[in-house]
Amino acid sequence: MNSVGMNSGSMNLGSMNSRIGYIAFNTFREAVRDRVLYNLIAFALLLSGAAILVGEISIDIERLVVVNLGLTAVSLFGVVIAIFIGIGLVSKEIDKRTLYTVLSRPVRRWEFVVGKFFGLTGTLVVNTFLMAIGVFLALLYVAHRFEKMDVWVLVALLIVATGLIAYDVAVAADLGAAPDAKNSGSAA
Amino acid sequence: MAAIEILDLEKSYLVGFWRKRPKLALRPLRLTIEEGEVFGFLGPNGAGKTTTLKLLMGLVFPTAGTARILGMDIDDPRMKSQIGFLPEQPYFYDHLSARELLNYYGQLSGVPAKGRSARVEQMLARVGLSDSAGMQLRKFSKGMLQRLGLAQAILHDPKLVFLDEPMSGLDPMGRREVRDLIQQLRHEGKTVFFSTHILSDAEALCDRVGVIHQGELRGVGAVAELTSQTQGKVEIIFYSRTVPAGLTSLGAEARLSGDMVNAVLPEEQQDAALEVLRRERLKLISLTPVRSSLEEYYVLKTRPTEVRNEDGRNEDGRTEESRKGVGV
Repeated sequence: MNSVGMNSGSMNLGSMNSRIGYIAFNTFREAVRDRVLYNLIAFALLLSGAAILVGEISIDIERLVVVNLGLTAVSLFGVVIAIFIGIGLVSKEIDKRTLYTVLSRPVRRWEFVVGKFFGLTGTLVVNTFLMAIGVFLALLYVAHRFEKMDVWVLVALLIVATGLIAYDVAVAADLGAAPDAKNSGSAA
Repeated sequence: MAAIEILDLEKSYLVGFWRKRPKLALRPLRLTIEEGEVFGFLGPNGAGKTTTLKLLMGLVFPTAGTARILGMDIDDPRMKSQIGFLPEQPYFYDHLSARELLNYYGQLSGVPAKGRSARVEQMLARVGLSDSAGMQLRKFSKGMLQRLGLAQAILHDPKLVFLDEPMSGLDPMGRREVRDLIQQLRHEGKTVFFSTHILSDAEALCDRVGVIHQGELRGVGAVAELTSQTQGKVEIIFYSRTVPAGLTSLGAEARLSGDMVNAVLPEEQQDAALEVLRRERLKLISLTPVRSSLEEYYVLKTRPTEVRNEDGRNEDGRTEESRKGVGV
């Protein structure tokens, strides 16, 4: 084999952080290429849009309704996305045996789980950001301008995002517990 | 230095839903594989080949025992950057294209960014996937996945390559290419450890083979030795519709198939047998000394345990019988 400037003797392992980054990026890429994600985002935006209609039949509290429904949509669909993606984060890799060719490389198990976690977190942050834009557009449509108080909507969104991340910590910690246990029964 | 040192590696699984009982998947296994060797790990389905490989890759944890690869522990990342692994019926991230996948694996294995994409293209060309490198893997056929699996196993130029059933799912051309690839790896001085149940492949490629059955290593031997022993018998094939009486009286075991007769008889009776054929004016097709093939060794080693225990004392008689059973 005429290797391209490679020298296996030098044992270039790459850094731990970069490996976690690569795994996180791959997890993010997988989520982004999944069509389910776009359906969920579309529904969240639809709900924010519907808030405008609901706001129109309420008197004086249009903004309140839009903010309420918008935030609800973001947190609800955020949780749904976290569940949908998070649930298969590690177990799908075990089931489909994609894990084998990753763990047989210089990747420690905890690096894999942490990388997966950051990938999911990244996906959630980007999605929350997209849905937040939807909420603010709805607000703008109702009031035609932003007010000082809208900063608090941003704060609320951050709290929602933090909640989602806390949730996905729980999911990842649970799923990362025992990749070995899944192998029982497949003694072939 | 030994490339792989397996020291009494053992694995049992818990089976059953309510009352969990341990099931022994691999009995204590002791095996040493030298550097630069091509080692074939043979055994029927469910024998424990894949379990052994999973243990060596650190994918499952052993119940007892240890192993050292390239002189390092099996969970040492420095060692893992020097080995390549092709799992059985490989499956990869189907949202990626072949090029993206190899790039990702290159990143994980610590292939320097500088030559990485060139290396990826080179590997794609080596396994004949250059044309479909940009296609998502969900559209790949089984054989293409197998090729890609080989590419990812040798991507980072490892010293030691583990291949689990490398020929499965491949067409005849593909199998030939895999054989060539393993031979190239041998020329490059790499150590190859591969499991298979296709004996002709093992016979053609391996320096040594190990036979595993029901989680137990039944025998290890050099292929050259195993296949060179003659047994003092010859096999004669000739055209005839009946078995000549003269042959059976010479102690031949003859079998009629169509208009051909296949007879096995002791070497010293060879001339007498040919004399019989000449007298009967029968047309000879071939006369070959019976060699023990890898298949016979395999059959011998994977006989059911019960039989082995029953007449364990009569070792020689049993051996002879099984050889006949295959040879005739």
